[in-house]
Amino acid sequence: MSKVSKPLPLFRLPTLLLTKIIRYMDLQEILLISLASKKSGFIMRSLLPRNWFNLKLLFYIKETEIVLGAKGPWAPVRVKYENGGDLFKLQITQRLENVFYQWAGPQLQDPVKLLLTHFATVFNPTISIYFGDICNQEFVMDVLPLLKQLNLSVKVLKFWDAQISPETYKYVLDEYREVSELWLFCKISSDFEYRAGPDFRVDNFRVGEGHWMHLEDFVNCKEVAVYNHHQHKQPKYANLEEPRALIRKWIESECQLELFTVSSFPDKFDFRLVLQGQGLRTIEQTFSSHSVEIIRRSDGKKALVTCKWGFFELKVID
Amino acid sequence: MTSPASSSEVKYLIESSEGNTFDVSGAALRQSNTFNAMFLNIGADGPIPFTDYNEATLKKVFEYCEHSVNEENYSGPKHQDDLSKWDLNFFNEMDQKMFIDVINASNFLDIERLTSYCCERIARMLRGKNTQEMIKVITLPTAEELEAKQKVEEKKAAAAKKVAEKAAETAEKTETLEELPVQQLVQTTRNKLTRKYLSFSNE
Repeated sequence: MSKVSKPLPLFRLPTLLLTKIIRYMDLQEILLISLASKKSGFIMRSLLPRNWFNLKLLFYIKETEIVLGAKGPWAPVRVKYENGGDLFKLQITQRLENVFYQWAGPQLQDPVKLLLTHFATVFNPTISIYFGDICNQEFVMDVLPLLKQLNLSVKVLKFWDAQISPETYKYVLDEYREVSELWLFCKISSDFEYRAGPDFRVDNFRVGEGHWMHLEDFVNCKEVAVYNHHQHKQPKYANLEEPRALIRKWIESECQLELFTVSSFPDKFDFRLVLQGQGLRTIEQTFSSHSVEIIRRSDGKKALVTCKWGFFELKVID
Repeated sequence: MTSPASSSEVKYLIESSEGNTFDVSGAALRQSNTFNAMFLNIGADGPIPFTDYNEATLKKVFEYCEHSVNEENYSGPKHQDDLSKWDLNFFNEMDQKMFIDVINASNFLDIERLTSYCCERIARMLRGKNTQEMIKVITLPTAEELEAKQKVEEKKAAAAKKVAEKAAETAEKTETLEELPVQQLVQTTRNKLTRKYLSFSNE
């Protein structure tokens, strides 16, 4: 065994031994061996534990990389991005920048799709994907449907300055209504309309440009933050009725909402007006802020509603 | 040949696939969990048949066990860089076929230390290599081989199931383990291990 004379028939060993062997391998080695052929990919899949892997994909000008992580002792594998002029490349590298494997294509989505397909087959990871400033409409709509097609579970989906159409924006709201984190920080036209149903249950939902939002629609999310980043003069929610409807809905339903913050800045709508004449118990009132306590009918749970110039917050406290 | 309260001086006779027998000390043999499960408490009157493995392989495996008798309790695999000169020689003097036979026998005998070293050694053969280099180190199976392997495993599983059912029936009839003949004990333990292996594979 000191000198390897001929290839080792590794995959003829019993499955139990193969399972032990891969525990001694780095995740990168497992990935590389799975890339040797379609068959070795399937074998590695059968040896790997289920529900252990997660894949984080970041697409920003300053930082584009893909990271395969795992539970247990395996260190994450970083797939680097390189834009080599005509070719977009995703590379697995080793020390001294040796390229061990690469996916490449004339458009960024080409290597990304190849990589996703392979990772889905072998690792079936959960997905966290960050569509940043290098993403356009075509890229997003090439990647998102593929995730569905590969039956990958998306946990985190964030858009930050990605250019997407209203149709894609709506597609995201329709298709990813139960993810852990959904952040939509991208431009959306002033006339965009959307109503979310009670099955919209994102744990952490943040919207950079929330002018289109009916606040009460999102009461089944756990945490919601709404901003007015693109400075719409009159966001739909900056009026008396929208926050009041949210408060009423929280009092009357059994929703899972824990925190809802709304900012209309730079529009300085006076949210304190929302609380006037509603017969709610004031907890604190200062020159700039008004806080009231509300109690849910069904279970007596309490929440604190705080209103300021340009700011509204509903926070469950008990 | 043995007594239940065996000391390190107690020798056991091991029978290989060729029908040859040779001595192994109780202390060495106790590193095998398979042996412990079968014979430790009840002893064995006659050669212990490990007849799926040839004499050379079994001798090699028990050479390792004899050597590591006095090593401290096993606490996970050593890093290969920490292996002693003796350990390195032990691995280096094996050809590939012997190495494969040894790892398979060690796996069956459930000798944790040796199996772990072998597994780590294989993992190290792939370390620092790219996919193309890995292909030179390992043989990738053809579709036919994969299919054949699957068929063999299915066949083995079916046979093991059949034997296990039969053994369960026999066990019901037999009041104590001591009354079981050695061959049947070996078979019963094999069945148990096979079931364990199958359940692990299906996880």
